[in-house]
Amino acid sequence: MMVPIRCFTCGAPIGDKYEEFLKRVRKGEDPGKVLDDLGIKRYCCRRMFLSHVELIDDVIKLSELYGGRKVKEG
Amino acid sequence: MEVEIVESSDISVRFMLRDVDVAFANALRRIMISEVPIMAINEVVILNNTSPIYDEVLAHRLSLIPLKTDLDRFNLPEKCSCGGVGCPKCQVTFVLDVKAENTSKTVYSGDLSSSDPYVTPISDRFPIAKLASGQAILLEAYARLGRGRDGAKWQPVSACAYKYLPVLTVNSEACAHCGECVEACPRGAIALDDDSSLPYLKDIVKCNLCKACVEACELGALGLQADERSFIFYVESTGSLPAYRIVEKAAEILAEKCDGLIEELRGVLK
Repeated sequence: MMVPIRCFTCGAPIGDKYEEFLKRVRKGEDPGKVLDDLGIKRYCCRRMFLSHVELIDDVIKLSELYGGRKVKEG
Repeated sequence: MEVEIVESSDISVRFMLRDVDVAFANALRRIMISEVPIMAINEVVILNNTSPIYDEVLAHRLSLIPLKTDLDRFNLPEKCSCGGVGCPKCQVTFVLDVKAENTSKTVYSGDLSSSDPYVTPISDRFPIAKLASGQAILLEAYARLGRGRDGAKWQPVSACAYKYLPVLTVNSEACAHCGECVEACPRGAIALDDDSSLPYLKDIVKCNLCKACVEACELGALGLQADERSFIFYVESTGSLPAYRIVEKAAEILAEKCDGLIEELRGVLK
């Protein structure tokens, strides 16, 4: 749902670089070059970026509609 | 034994280890992966979570965030004077208190406030959760030292591997200086020497002993062997510890284990 913190295969931290990746790719940069720039070398880490679908934003919309999970205010 | 640093940065180190046995190199590698301790969050008390991220997913994401670790100041919980209950010598407390007011908001690792100024996430930009307006998270998390064998969150290295040192032998009388071997190398590890125009291994790191060069040489002038007593190590840290410190600590742990064995043996043989 949200971008994983680490690469599933090698365990390298990748989550902190996802937003920059997304921003630059949306601006029209080549994803491969952005990954090189960010220092993501191995293909296990690279597929984490290329294959990820950030679903949380859609879930957030639902949350706004229904007012979130009902949990007692603490 | 001889060590030569090929390249080194905070996050990764590549070094050559000469004149050792495979067993020794592998022991070092395995200790780096599973026995060098680092800090990671392993207990989370969730006081309020109205976000769409479930409590257990939230806790899991928190645990995977690499934390800067000072090995000299912290004890493993089982070896601490408090007996593992949790004291400033073996535990760091984090508090996460976020609320999205009018717009949705992403919660980052930077929002975690730590009880220890040194033990903090390696980056402030790890997204932990996302909140719709009106949603909130309030939790307390405890980070402790642990070892990779008990969970991947405590593994200090991502990539940690070695390979044999490649050795290229050239029969200078048979070589026609044609450069076929240079062309054949898929990784560009071979070049022709400027003076003698004989092929040599320009980049030992790139060579993976595939022997495409040997096959490409129709004159049979090339040979490529692995030096089975020399290793090129590559250690990449997750950021918790500097890469060189992981190697250093792994060697210390190996020495400690050997000392323990000697002591045991002396006790038995007495």
